[in-house]
Amino acid sequence: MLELRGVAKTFQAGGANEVRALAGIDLSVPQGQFVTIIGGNGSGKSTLLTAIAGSFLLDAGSIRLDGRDLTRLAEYQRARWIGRVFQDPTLGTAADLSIAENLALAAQKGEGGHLRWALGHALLEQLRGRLKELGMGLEDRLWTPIGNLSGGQRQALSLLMATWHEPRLLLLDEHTAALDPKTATMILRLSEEIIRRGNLTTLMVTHSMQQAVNLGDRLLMLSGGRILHDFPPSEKRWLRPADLQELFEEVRRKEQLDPSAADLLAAAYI
Amino acid sequence: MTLLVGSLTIGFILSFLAYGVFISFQLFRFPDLTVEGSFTLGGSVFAVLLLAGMPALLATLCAFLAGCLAGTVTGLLRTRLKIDPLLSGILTMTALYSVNLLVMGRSNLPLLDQPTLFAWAESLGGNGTVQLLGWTVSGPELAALLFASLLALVFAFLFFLFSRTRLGTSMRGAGSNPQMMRAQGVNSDAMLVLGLALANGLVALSGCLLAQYQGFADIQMGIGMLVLGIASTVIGSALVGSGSLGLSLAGVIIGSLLFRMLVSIALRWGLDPNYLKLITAVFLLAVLVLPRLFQRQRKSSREKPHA
Repeated sequence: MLELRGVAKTFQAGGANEVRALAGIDLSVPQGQFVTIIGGNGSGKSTLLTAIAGSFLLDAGSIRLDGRDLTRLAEYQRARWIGRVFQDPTLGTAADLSIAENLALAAQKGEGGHLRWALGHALLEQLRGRLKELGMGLEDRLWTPIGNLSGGQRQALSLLMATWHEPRLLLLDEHTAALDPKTATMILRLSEEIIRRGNLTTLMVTHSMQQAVNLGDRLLMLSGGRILHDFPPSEKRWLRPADLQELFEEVRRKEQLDPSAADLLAAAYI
Repeated sequence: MTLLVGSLTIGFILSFLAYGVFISFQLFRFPDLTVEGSFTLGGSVFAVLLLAGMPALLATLCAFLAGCLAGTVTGLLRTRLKIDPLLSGILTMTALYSVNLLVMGRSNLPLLDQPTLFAWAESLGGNGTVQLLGWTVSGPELAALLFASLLALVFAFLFFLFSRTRLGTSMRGAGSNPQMMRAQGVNSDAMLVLGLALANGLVALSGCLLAQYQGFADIQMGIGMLVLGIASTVIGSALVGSGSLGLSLAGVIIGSLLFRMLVSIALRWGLDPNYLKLITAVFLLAVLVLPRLFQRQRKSSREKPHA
Protein backbone atom coordinates (compact mmCIF):
# COMPACT_ATOMS: atom_id res chain seq x y z
CA MET A 1 0.00 0.00 0.00
CA LEU A 2 1.48 3.30 -1.17
CA GLU A 3 0.15 6.51 0.37
CA LEU A 4 1.04 10.03 -0.74
CA ARG A 5 -0.29 13.03 1.21
CA GLY A 6 0.08 16.59 -0.10
CA VAL A 7 3.28 15.82 -1.95
CA ALA A 8 4.75 19.11 -3.25
CA LYS A 9 8.01 20.14 -4.84
CA THR A 10 9.17 23.38 -6.45
CA PHE A 11 12.49 23.51 -8.30
CA GLN A 12 14.62 26.69 -8.29
CA ALA A 13 12.22 28.23 -5.77
CA GLY A 14 12.31 32.02 -5.81
CA GLY A 15 14.42 32.11 -8.99
CA ALA A 16 13.40 33.29 -12.43
CA ASN A 17 13.06 29.69 -13.62
CA GLU A 18 10.89 28.56 -10.73
CA VAL A 19 9.07 25.35 -11.64
CA ARG A 20 6.21 24.05 -9.54
CA ALA A 21 6.70 20.41 -10.46
CA LEU A 22 4.38 18.80 -7.91
CA ALA A 23 1.56 20.90 -6.50
CA GLY A 24 0.09 18.79 -3.74
CA ILE A 25 -0.59 15.21 -4.76
CA ASP A 26 -2.76 12.84 -2.72
CA LEU A 27 -2.77 9.24 -3.82
CA SER A 28 -3.45 5.82 -2.32
CA VAL A 29 -2.45 2.72 -4.23
CA PRO A 30 -3.53 -0.59 -2.69
CA GLN A 31 -1.20 -3.58 -2.64
CA GLY A 32 -0.98 -5.29 -6.03
CA GLN A 33 -2.53 -2.49 -8.05
CA PHE A 34 -0.95 -1.62 -11.42
CA VAL A 35 -1.32 2.10 -12.15
CA THR A 36 -0.49 3.76 -15.45
CA ILE A 37 0.27 7.49 -15.44
CA ILE A 38 0.01 9.84 -18.41
CA GLY A 39 0.36 13.57 -18.87
CA GLY A 40 1.95 16.14 -21.15
CA ASN A 41 5.50 17.44 -20.92
CA GLY A 42 6.10 19.09 -17.57
CA SER A 43 2.93 17.64 -16.07
CA GLY A 44 4.99 16.15 -13.23
CA LYS A 45 4.56 12.48 -14.07
CA SER A 46 8.26 11.60 -14.06
CA THR A 47 8.93 13.96 -11.14
CA LEU A 48 6.32 12.07 -9.14
CA LEU A 49 8.21 8.82 -9.64
CA THR A 50 11.59 10.34 -8.78
CA ALA A 51 10.00 11.91 -5.67
CA ILE A 52 8.77 8.49 -4.53
CA ALA A 53 12.16 6.94 -5.31
CA GLY A 54 13.81 9.67 -3.24
CA SER A 55 16.14 11.37 -5.72
CA PHE A 56 15.24 14.63 -3.96
CA LEU A 57 13.46 15.52 -0.72
CA LEU A 58 9.96 17.01 -0.72
CA ASP A 59 9.04 20.60 0.14
CA ALA A 60 5.87 19.35 1.78
CA GLY A 61 3.83 16.19 2.19
CA SER A 62 4.58 12.61 3.10
CA ILE A 63 5.22 9.29 1.39
CA ARG A 64 4.37 6.02 3.14
CA LEU A 65 4.84 2.49 1.86
CA ASP A 66 3.18 -0.34 3.79
CA GLY A 67 2.83 2.03 6.72
CA ARG A 68 6.53 2.89 6.73
CA ASP A 69 7.34 6.59 6.46
CA LEU A 70 9.82 7.08 3.59
CA THR A 71 9.63 10.87 3.44
CA ARG A 72 13.03 11.58 5.03
CA LEU A 73 14.89 8.48 3.83
CA ALA A 74 17.69 8.69 1.25
CA GLU A 75 17.26 7.18 -2.19
CA TYR A 76 19.51 4.20 -1.48
CA GLN A 77 17.64 3.43 1.75
CA ARG A 78 14.24 3.39 0.02
CA ALA A 79 15.68 1.12 -2.67
CA ARG A 80 15.35 -1.73 -0.18
CA TRP A 81 11.61 -1.79 -0.91
CA ILE A 82 11.45 -0.04 -4.28
CA GLY A 83 12.50 -1.40 -7.67
CA ARG A 84 13.06 1.09 -10.45
CA VAL A 85 13.54 1.02 -14.22
CA PHE A 86 14.60 4.21 -16.00
CA GLN A 87 13.75 5.53 -19.43
CA ASP A 88 17.41 5.50 -20.44
CA PRO A 89 18.57 1.85 -20.75
CA THR A 90 22.14 2.88 -19.81
CA LEU A 91 20.96 4.13 -16.38
CA GLY A 92 19.73 0.79 -15.05
CA THR A 93 22.93 -1.19 -15.44
CA ALA A 94 26.67 -0.58 -14.89
CA ALA A 95 28.28 -0.64 -18.35
CA ASP A 96 31.78 -1.61 -17.21
CA LEU A 97 30.66 -4.63 -15.21
CA SER A 98 29.73 -7.98 -16.70
CA ILE A 99 26.17 -9.30 -16.93
CA ALA A 100 26.87 -11.65 -14.04
CA GLU A 101 28.32 -8.91 -11.83
CA ASN A 102 25.40 -6.58 -12.52
CA LEU A 103 22.91 -9.26 -11.56
CA ALA A 104 24.99 -10.12 -8.51
CA LEU A 105 24.63 -6.52 -7.33
CA ALA A 106 20.85 -6.88 -7.62
CA ALA A 107 20.91 -10.25 -5.85
CA GLN A 108 22.90 -8.89 -2.87
CA LYS A 109 20.57 -5.89 -2.45
CA GLY A 110 19.74 -5.31 1.19
CA GLU A 111 22.14 -8.02 2.37
CA GLY A 112 25.36 -7.57 4.33
CA GLY A 113 28.40 -9.83 4.03
CA HIS A 114 30.54 -7.22 2.33
CA LEU A 115 33.63 -9.36 2.17
CA ARG A 116 31.93 -12.45 0.80
CA TRP A 117 32.37 -13.29 -2.88
CA ALA A 118 29.96 -11.37 -5.07
CA LEU A 119 29.44 -14.42 -7.28
CA GLY A 120 29.19 -17.81 -5.66
CA HIS A 121 28.55 -21.05 -7.48
CA ALA A 122 24.91 -21.27 -6.39
CA LEU A 123 24.21 -17.70 -7.46
CA LEU A 124 25.73 -18.30 -10.91
CA GLU A 125 23.40 -21.25 -11.41
CA GLN A 126 20.46 -19.10 -10.35
CA LEU A 127 21.55 -16.32 -12.75
CA ARG A 128 21.69 -18.76 -15.64
CA GLY A 129 18.20 -19.97 -14.85
CA ARG A 130 16.70 -16.50 -14.69
CA LEU A 131 18.49 -15.38 -17.85
CA LYS A 132 17.27 -18.45 -19.68
CA GLU A 133 13.68 -17.44 -18.86
CA LEU A 134 14.28 -14.17 -20.72
CA GLY A 135 14.91 -16.19 -23.88
CA MET A 136 17.56 -13.79 -25.17
CA GLY A 137 20.51 -16.19 -25.09
CA LEU A 138 22.21 -14.06 -22.43
CA GLU A 139 22.83 -17.07 -20.18
CA ASP A 140 25.80 -17.95 -22.42
CA ARG A 141 27.26 -14.46 -22.23
CA LEU A 142 27.55 -14.05 -18.44
CA TRP A 143 30.99 -12.41 -18.61
CA THR A 144 30.22 -9.91 -21.38
CA PRO A 145 30.42 -6.30 -20.20
CA ILE A 146 26.85 -4.97 -20.18
CA GLY A 147 27.99 -1.92 -22.15
CA ASN A 148 28.31 -4.18 -25.21
CA LEU A 149 24.62 -5.12 -25.21
CA SER A 150 21.77 -3.49 -27.11
CA GLY A 151 19.33 -1.07 -25.46
CA GLY A 152 16.59 -3.69 -25.42
CA GLN A 153 18.81 -6.31 -23.79
CA ARG A 154 20.01 -3.80 -21.19
CA GLN A 155 16.42 -2.78 -20.45
CA ALA A 156 15.37 -6.41 -20.03
CA LEU A 157 18.26 -6.88 -17.58
CA SER A 158 17.34 -3.64 -15.75
CA LEU A 159 13.84 -5.02 -15.32
CA LEU A 160 15.19 -8.33 -14.07
CA MET A 161 17.49 -6.52 -11.61
CA ALA A 162 14.75 -4.17 -10.37
CA THR A 163 12.51 -7.15 -9.58
CA TRP A 164 15.13 -9.72 -8.53
CA HIS A 165 13.85 -9.61 -4.96
CA GLU A 166 10.16 -8.85 -5.43
CA PRO A 167 9.97 -5.15 -4.47
CA ARG A 168 7.06 -3.73 -2.47
CA LEU A 169 6.73 -1.07 -5.17
CA LEU A 170 7.87 -1.07 -8.79
CA LEU A 171 8.46 2.24 -10.59
CA LEU A 172 8.61 2.16 -14.40
CA ASP A 173 9.52 5.55 -15.85
CA GLU A 174 8.72 5.49 -19.60
CA HIS A 175 10.92 2.45 -19.68
CA THR A 176 10.13 1.55 -23.29
CA ALA A 177 10.26 5.09 -24.73
CA ALA A 178 13.87 4.79 -25.90
CA LEU A 179 13.38 1.43 -27.64
CA ASP A 180 12.27 0.48 -31.14
CA PRO A 181 8.60 -0.61 -31.38
CA LYS A 182 9.30 -4.34 -31.57
CA THR A 183 11.66 -4.32 -28.58
CA ALA A 184 9.28 -2.04 -26.69
CA THR A 185 6.47 -4.57 -27.12
CA MET A 186 8.71 -7.37 -25.91
CA ILE A 187 9.80 -5.39 -22.82
CA LEU A 188 6.19 -4.45 -22.07
CA ARG A 189 5.06 -8.05 -22.26
CA LEU A 190 7.93 -9.05 -19.95
CA SER A 191 7.03 -6.25 -17.51
CA GLU A 192 3.40 -7.30 -17.41
CA GLU A 193 4.33 -10.92 -16.82
CA ILE A 194 6.68 -10.05 -13.94
CA ILE A 195 4.11 -7.68 -12.39
CA ARG A 196 1.29 -10.23 -12.60
CA ARG A 197 3.40 -13.11 -11.35
CA GLY A 198 4.63 -11.20 -8.29
CA ASN A 199 1.35 -9.26 -7.84
CA LEU A 200 3.58 -6.18 -7.62
CA THR A 201 2.27 -2.73 -6.74
CA THR A 202 3.35 -0.76 -9.80
CA LEU A 203 3.41 2.81 -11.07
CA MET A 204 4.15 3.07 -14.79
CA VAL A 205 4.63 6.42 -16.51
CA THR A 206 4.05 6.34 -20.24
CA HIS A 207 3.64 8.78 -23.11
CA SER A 208 1.70 6.24 -25.15
CA MET A 209 -2.09 6.41 -24.77
CA GLN A 210 -2.34 2.94 -26.25
CA GLN A 211 -0.15 1.57 -23.44
CA ALA A 212 -1.96 3.63 -20.82
CA VAL A 213 -5.31 2.22 -21.88
CA ASN A 214 -4.26 -1.37 -22.50
CA LEU A 215 -2.09 -1.93 -19.42
CA GLY A 216 -2.80 -1.75 -15.75
CA ASP A 217 -5.85 -1.56 -13.49
CA ARG A 218 -6.07 2.18 -12.93
CA LEU A 219 -5.13 5.30 -14.88
CA LEU A 220 -3.99 8.69 -13.63
CA MET A 221 -3.73 11.77 -15.78
CA LEU A 222 -1.46 14.53 -14.47
CA SER A 223 -1.34 18.18 -15.41
CA GLY A 224 0.53 21.06 -13.82
CA GLY A 225 1.77 18.87 -10.99
CA ARG A 226 -1.73 17.73 -9.98
CA ILE A 227 -3.82 14.65 -10.57
CA LEU A 228 -6.38 15.83 -13.11
CA HIS A 229 -8.21 12.56 -13.68
CA ASP A 230 -8.18 9.31 -11.75
CA PHE A 231 -9.90 6.41 -13.49
CA PRO A 232 -10.50 3.50 -11.10
CA PRO A 233 -10.58 -0.07 -12.49
CA SER A 234 -14.37 0.08 -13.03
CA GLU A 235 -14.06 3.10 -15.34
CA LYS A 236 -10.68 2.38 -16.90
CA ARG A 237 -12.07 -0.77 -18.50
CA TRP A 238 -14.23 1.32 -20.84
CA LEU A 239 -11.59 3.90 -21.76
CA ARG A 240 -10.42 4.13 -25.36
CA PRO A 241 -7.30 6.00 -26.63
CA ALA A 242 -9.64 8.48 -28.33
CA ASP A 243 -11.14 9.45 -24.96
CA LEU A 244 -7.70 10.24 -23.61
CA GLN A 245 -6.87 12.20 -26.73
CA GLU A 246 -9.93 14.35 -26.07
CA LEU A 247 -8.90 14.96 -22.47
CA PHE A 248 -5.44 15.96 -23.66
CA GLU A 249 -6.89 18.48 -26.10
CA GLU A 250 -8.97 19.95 -23.32
CA VAL A 251 -5.89 20.39 -21.13
CA ARG A 252 -4.00 21.96 -24.00
CA ARG A 253 -6.76 24.49 -24.64
CA LYS A 254 -6.78 25.46 -20.99
CA GLU A 255 -2.99 25.81 -20.82
CA GLN A 256 -2.93 28.09 -23.85
CA LEU A 257 -5.07 30.67 -22.08
CA ASP A 258 -3.61 32.59 -19.20
CA PRO A 259 -5.65 32.21 -16.01
CA SER A 260 -7.25 35.70 -16.01
CA ALA A 261 -8.38 35.34 -19.63
CA ALA A 262 -9.81 31.92 -18.77
CA ASP A 263 -11.78 33.51 -15.91
CA LEU A 264 -13.14 36.22 -18.19
CA LEU A 265 -14.16 33.63 -20.77
CA ALA A 266 -15.82 31.49 -18.14
CA ALA A 267 -17.72 34.50 -16.80
CA ALA A 268 -18.89 35.47 -20.28
CA TYR A 269 -20.06 32.04 -21.38
CA ILE A 270 -21.45 30.47 -18.25
CA MET B 1 72.17 -3.20 -15.88
CA THR B 2 72.12 -1.36 -12.57
CA LEU B 3 70.09 1.27 -14.32
CA LEU B 4 67.58 -1.31 -15.53
CA VAL B 5 67.27 -2.93 -12.10
CA GLY B 6 66.87 0.49 -10.49
CA SER B 7 64.19 1.63 -12.89
CA LEU B 8 62.27 -1.64 -12.54
CA THR B 9 62.36 -1.25 -8.75
CA ILE B 10 60.97 2.27 -9.02
CA GLY B 11 58.44 0.99 -11.55
CA PHE B 12 57.14 -1.55 -9.03
CA ILE B 13 57.09 1.08 -6.27
CA LEU B 14 55.15 3.47 -8.50
CA SER B 15 52.68 0.74 -9.42
CA PHE B 16 51.00 1.49 -6.06
CA LEU B 17 50.56 5.05 -7.28
CA ALA B 18 49.18 3.68 -10.53
CA TYR B 19 46.67 1.49 -8.65
CA GLY B 20 45.56 4.52 -6.66
CA VAL B 21 45.04 6.53 -9.83
CA PHE B 22 43.38 3.51 -11.43
CA ILE B 23 40.76 3.55 -8.65
CA SER B 24 40.05 7.28 -8.69
CA PHE B 25 40.55 8.09 -12.36
CA GLN B 26 39.53 4.90 -14.16
CA LEU B 27 36.94 3.34 -11.84
CA PHE B 28 35.34 6.54 -10.54
CA ARG B 29 36.36 8.88 -13.42
CA PHE B 30 37.35 11.33 -10.71
CA PRO B 31 40.29 13.59 -11.68
CA ASP B 32 41.73 13.50 -8.18
CA LEU B 33 44.50 16.07 -7.76
CA THR B 34 44.81 15.07 -4.08
CA VAL B 35 47.37 12.57 -5.43
CA GLU B 36 49.99 15.31 -5.80
CA GLY B 37 49.75 16.05 -2.08
CA SER B 38 49.13 12.59 -0.70
CA PHE B 39 52.20 11.15 -2.47
CA THR B 40 54.39 13.61 -0.58
CA LEU B 41 52.32 13.04 2.56
CA GLY B 42 53.26 9.36 2.52
CA GLY B 43 56.95 10.23 2.30
CA SER B 44 56.85 12.96 4.93
CA VAL B 45 54.79 11.07 7.51
CA PHE B 46 57.01 8.03 7.13
CA ALA B 47 60.24 10.04 7.38
CA VAL B 48 59.19 11.89 10.51
CA LEU B 49 57.90 8.79 12.29
CA LEU B 50 60.97 6.74 11.39
CA LEU B 51 63.33 9.47 12.57
CA ALA B 52 61.31 9.62 15.80
CA GLY B 53 62.17 5.97 16.36
CA MET B 54 59.10 4.12 15.10
CA PRO B 55 59.73 0.74 13.39
CA ALA B 56 59.71 1.06 9.57
CA LEU B 57 56.80 -1.32 9.04
CA LEU B 58 54.56 0.58 11.45
CA ALA B 59 55.61 3.94 9.99
CA THR B 60 54.72 2.61 6.52
CA LEU B 61 51.28 1.63 7.77
CA CYS B 62 50.83 5.11 9.27
CA ALA B 63 51.81 6.69 5.92
CA PHE B 64 49.11 4.60 4.22
CA LEU B 65 46.51 5.67 6.77
CA ALA B 66 47.51 9.33 6.42
CA GLY B 67 46.86 9.02 2.68
CA CYS B 68 43.47 7.40 3.38
CA LEU B 69 42.62 10.39 5.55
CA ALA B 70 43.55 12.84 2.79
CA GLY B 71 41.37 10.91 0.33
CA THR B 72 38.51 10.92 2.82
CA VAL B 73 38.71 14.71 3.07
CA THR B 74 38.46 15.07 -0.71
CA GLY B 75 35.61 12.55 -0.80
CA LEU B 76 33.67 14.40 1.89
CA LEU B 77 34.22 17.75 0.18
CA ARG B 78 32.70 16.20 -2.93
CA THR B 79 29.79 14.29 -1.42
CA ARG B 80 28.84 16.33 1.66
CA LEU B 81 29.60 19.85 0.48
CA LYS B 82 28.85 19.16 -3.22
CA ILE B 83 32.09 20.76 -4.37
CA ASP B 84 33.16 20.12 -7.94
CA PRO B 85 35.43 17.01 -8.21
CA LEU B 86 38.40 18.88 -9.65
CA LEU B 87 38.11 21.65 -7.07
CA SER B 88 37.78 19.24 -4.10
CA GLY B 89 41.08 17.66 -5.14
CA ILE B 90 42.76 21.02 -5.66
CA LEU B 91 41.65 22.19 -2.20
CA THR B 92 43.03 19.14 -0.43
CA MET B 93 46.22 19.19 -2.52
CA THR B 94 46.88 22.83 -1.70
CA ALA B 95 46.22 22.34 2.00
CA LEU B 96 48.45 19.25 2.02
CA TYR B 97 51.44 21.29 0.82
CA SER B 98 51.41 23.20 4.11
CA VAL B 99 50.58 20.06 6.07
CA ASN B 100 53.62 18.35 4.58
CA LEU B 101 55.89 21.26 5.46
CA LEU B 102 54.47 21.27 8.98
CA VAL B 103 54.99 17.53 9.35
CA MET B 104 58.57 17.55 8.09
CA GLY B 105 59.53 20.91 9.58
CA ARG B 106 61.62 21.63 6.47
CA SER B 107 61.53 20.84 2.79
CA ASN B 108 63.78 17.77 2.79
CA LEU B 109 64.46 14.94 5.24
CA PRO B 110 67.34 12.55 4.51
CA LEU B 111 66.85 8.90 5.47
CA LEU B 112 70.30 7.58 4.66
CA ASP B 113 71.58 4.94 7.11
CA GLN B 114 68.11 4.69 8.63
CA PRO B 115 66.46 1.28 9.18
CA THR B 116 63.98 1.56 6.30
CA LEU B 117 62.25 -1.45 4.71
CA PHE B 118 64.53 -1.12 1.69
CA ALA B 119 67.64 -0.92 3.88
CA TRP B 120 66.46 -4.20 5.40
CA ALA B 121 65.79 -5.77 1.99
CA GLU B 122 69.16 -4.63 0.62
CA SER B 123 70.94 -6.08 3.61
CA LEU B 124 69.48 -9.47 2.69
CA GLY B 125 71.26 -9.19 -0.66
CA GLY B 126 74.70 -9.28 0.97
CA ASN B 127 77.64 -7.30 -0.36
CA GLY B 128 78.58 -9.34 -3.41
CA THR B 129 77.44 -9.32 -6.97
CA VAL B 130 75.19 -11.79 -8.77
CA GLN B 131 75.51 -13.03 -12.33
CA LEU B 132 72.10 -12.71 -13.95
CA LEU B 133 71.67 -13.69 -17.61
CA GLY B 134 75.28 -12.75 -18.22
CA TRP B 135 75.06 -9.40 -16.48
CA THR B 136 76.65 -8.48 -13.21
CA VAL B 137 74.13 -7.12 -10.72
CA SER B 138 74.90 -5.97 -7.22
CA GLY B 139 73.25 -8.11 -4.56
CA PRO B 140 71.54 -5.29 -2.64
CA GLU B 141 70.11 -3.83 -5.86
CA LEU B 142 68.67 -7.18 -6.85
CA ALA B 143 67.26 -7.76 -3.35
CA ALA B 144 65.55 -4.35 -3.49
CA LEU B 145 64.03 -5.23 -6.86
CA LEU B 146 62.75 -8.58 -5.62
CA PHE B 147 61.32 -6.95 -2.50
CA ALA B 148 59.52 -4.24 -4.50
CA SER B 149 58.17 -6.72 -7.05
CA LEU B 150 56.97 -9.05 -4.31
CA LEU B 151 55.12 -6.18 -2.59
CA ALA B 152 53.52 -5.04 -5.84
CA LEU B 153 52.48 -8.52 -7.00
CA VAL B 154 51.05 -9.55 -3.62
CA PHE B 155 49.11 -6.31 -3.48
CA ALA B 156 47.82 -6.71 -7.05
CA PHE B 157 46.56 -10.19 -6.18
CA LEU B 158 44.86 -8.98 -2.99
CA PHE B 159 43.27 -6.12 -4.89
CA PHE B 160 42.01 -8.55 -7.50
CA LEU B 161 40.40 -10.65 -4.76
CA PHE B 162 38.90 -7.56 -3.11
CA SER B 163 37.41 -6.44 -6.43
CA ARG B 164 35.44 -9.67 -6.59
CA THR B 165 33.88 -9.39 -3.15
CA ARG B 166 30.45 -7.86 -2.69
CA LEU B 167 31.99 -4.64 -1.42
CA GLY B 168 34.52 -4.48 -4.26
CA THR B 169 31.83 -5.14 -6.86
CA SER B 170 29.62 -2.44 -5.32
CA MET B 171 32.53 -0.02 -5.40
CA ARG B 172 33.20 -0.69 -9.08
CA GLY B 173 29.47 -0.47 -9.81
CA ALA B 174 29.27 2.88 -8.02
CA GLY B 175 32.14 4.15 -10.15
CA SER B 176 30.51 2.94 -13.33
CA ASN B 177 26.94 4.06 -12.60
CA PRO B 178 26.18 5.74 -9.24
CA GLN B 179 22.47 6.22 -10.08
CA MET B 180 22.00 2.51 -10.68
CA MET B 181 23.81 1.64 -7.46
CA ARG B 182 21.49 3.90 -5.45
CA ALA B 183 18.55 2.16 -7.09
CA GLN B 184 20.12 -1.12 -5.93
CA GLY B 185 20.28 0.11 -2.35
CA VAL B 186 23.97 1.06 -2.20
CA ASN B 187 25.10 4.40 -0.78
CA SER B 188 27.04 5.62 -3.82
CA ASP B 189 28.46 8.59 -1.91
CA ALA B 190 29.96 6.32 0.71
CA MET B 191 31.46 4.21 -2.05
CA LEU B 192 33.12 7.28 -3.58
CA VAL B 193 34.59 8.30 -0.22
CA LEU B 194 35.82 4.74 0.34
CA GLY B 195 37.31 4.61 -3.15
CA LEU B 196 39.14 7.91 -2.78
CA ALA B 197 40.40 6.93 0.68
CA LEU B 198 41.78 3.65 -0.65
CA ALA B 199 43.22 5.37 -3.73
CA ASN B 200 45.07 8.03 -1.77
CA GLY B 201 46.20 5.49 0.80
CA LEU B 202 47.90 3.58 -2.01
CA VAL B 203 49.38 6.79 -3.42
CA ALA B 204 50.81 7.66 0.00
CA LEU B 205 52.15 4.11 0.32
CA SER B 206 53.89 4.59 -3.00
CA GLY B 207 55.41 7.90 -1.86
CA CYS B 208 56.51 6.31 1.39
CA LEU B 209 58.20 3.39 -0.40
CA LEU B 210 59.90 5.74 -2.86
CA ALA B 211 61.24 7.85 0.02
CA GLN B 212 62.64 4.66 1.58
CA TYR B 213 64.25 3.54 -1.67
CA GLN B 214 65.72 6.94 -2.57
CA GLY B 215 66.79 7.66 0.99
CA PHE B 216 64.99 10.97 1.44
CA ALA B 217 61.54 12.59 1.59
CA ASP B 218 61.11 15.85 -0.26
CA ILE B 219 58.33 18.44 -0.42
CA GLN B 220 58.50 18.39 -4.22
CA MET B 221 58.25 14.64 -4.70
CA GLY B 222 54.51 14.65 -5.48
CA ILE B 223 54.61 17.09 -8.37
CA GLY B 224 53.45 15.54 -11.63
CA MET B 225 52.44 12.27 -9.97
CA LEU B 226 48.83 12.39 -11.20
CA VAL B 227 49.90 12.57 -14.83
CA LEU B 228 52.45 9.84 -14.19
CA GLY B 229 49.79 7.60 -12.68
CA ILE B 230 47.36 8.27 -15.51
CA ALA B 231 50.10 7.57 -18.07
CA SER B 232 50.81 4.21 -16.43
CA THR B 233 47.17 3.12 -16.35
CA VAL B 234 46.54 4.33 -19.90
CA ILE B 235 49.59 2.52 -21.29
CA GLY B 236 48.50 -0.55 -19.39
CA SER B 237 45.00 -0.61 -20.79
CA ALA B 238 46.30 0.21 -24.29
CA LEU B 239 48.67 -2.77 -24.14
CA VAL B 240 46.68 -5.38 -22.28
CA GLY B 241 43.17 -4.12 -22.96
CA SER B 242 40.42 -3.76 -20.43
CA GLY B 243 38.50 -6.87 -21.43
CA SER B 244 38.45 -8.34 -17.95
CA LEU B 245 39.20 -7.18 -14.45
CA GLY B 246 42.29 -9.38 -14.10
CA LEU B 247 43.74 -8.06 -17.35
CA SER B 248 43.19 -4.42 -16.51
CA LEU B 249 44.75 -4.90 -13.06
CA ALA B 250 47.78 -6.61 -14.59
CA GLY B 251 47.95 -3.82 -17.14
CA VAL B 252 48.45 -1.26 -14.37
CA ILE B 253 51.71 -2.88 -13.20
CA ILE B 254 52.91 -3.46 -16.75
CA GLY B 255 52.14 0.15 -17.65
CA SER B 256 54.00 1.44 -14.61
CA LEU B 257 57.10 -0.67 -15.37
CA LEU B 258 57.11 0.19 -19.06
CA PHE B 259 56.75 3.87 -18.37
CA ARG B 260 59.63 3.85 -15.91
CA MET B 261 61.82 2.02 -18.45
CA LEU B 262 61.03 4.59 -21.12
CA VAL B 263 61.97 7.37 -18.71
CA SER B 264 65.29 5.79 -17.81
CA ILE B 265 66.09 5.13 -21.47
CA ALA B 266 65.37 8.77 -22.25
CA LEU B 267 67.65 9.87 -19.40
CA ARG B 268 70.33 7.45 -20.58
CA TRP B 269 70.24 9.09 -23.99
CA GLY B 270 71.21 12.31 -22.33
CA LEU B 271 67.81 13.91 -21.74
CA ASP B 272 68.08 16.89 -19.43
CA PRO B 273 66.15 15.87 -16.25
CA ASN B 274 64.58 19.33 -16.30
CA TYR B 275 62.57 18.23 -19.32
CA LEU B 276 61.27 15.10 -17.62
CA LYS B 277 57.79 16.39 -16.75
CA LEU B 278 57.43 17.93 -20.21
CA ILE B 279 58.34 14.62 -21.81
CA THR B 280 55.94 12.82 -19.48
CA ALA B 281 53.08 15.10 -20.51
CA VAL B 282 53.89 14.82 -24.23
CA PHE B 283 54.22 11.08 -23.90
CA LEU B 284 50.82 10.77 -22.20
CA LEU B 285 49.31 12.93 -24.92
CA ALA B 286 50.77 10.61 -27.55
CA VAL B 287 49.40 7.52 -25.80
CA LEU B 288 45.96 9.12 -25.60
CA VAL B 289 45.84 10.38 -29.18
CA LEU B 290 47.74 7.80 -31.23
CA PRO B 291 45.30 4.86 -30.87
CA ARG B 292 42.49 7.14 -32.07
CA LEU B 293 44.55 8.29 -35.06
CA PHE B 294 45.31 4.68 -35.97
CA GLN B 295 41.63 3.84 -35.78
CA ARG B 296 40.73 6.72 -38.05
CA GLN B 297 43.41 5.66 -40.52
CA ARG B 298 42.12 2.11 -40.50
CA LYS B 299 38.56 3.27 -41.00
CA SER B 300 39.40 5.59 -43.89
CA SER B 301 41.50 2.92 -45.62
CA ARG B 302 38.59 0.51 -45.26
CA GLU B 303 36.24 3.01 -46.85
CA LYS B 304 38.34 3.37 -49.99
CA PRO B 305 40.02 0.00 -50.46
CA HIS B 306 41.39 0.73 -53.93
CA ALA B 307 42.89 4.09 -53.17
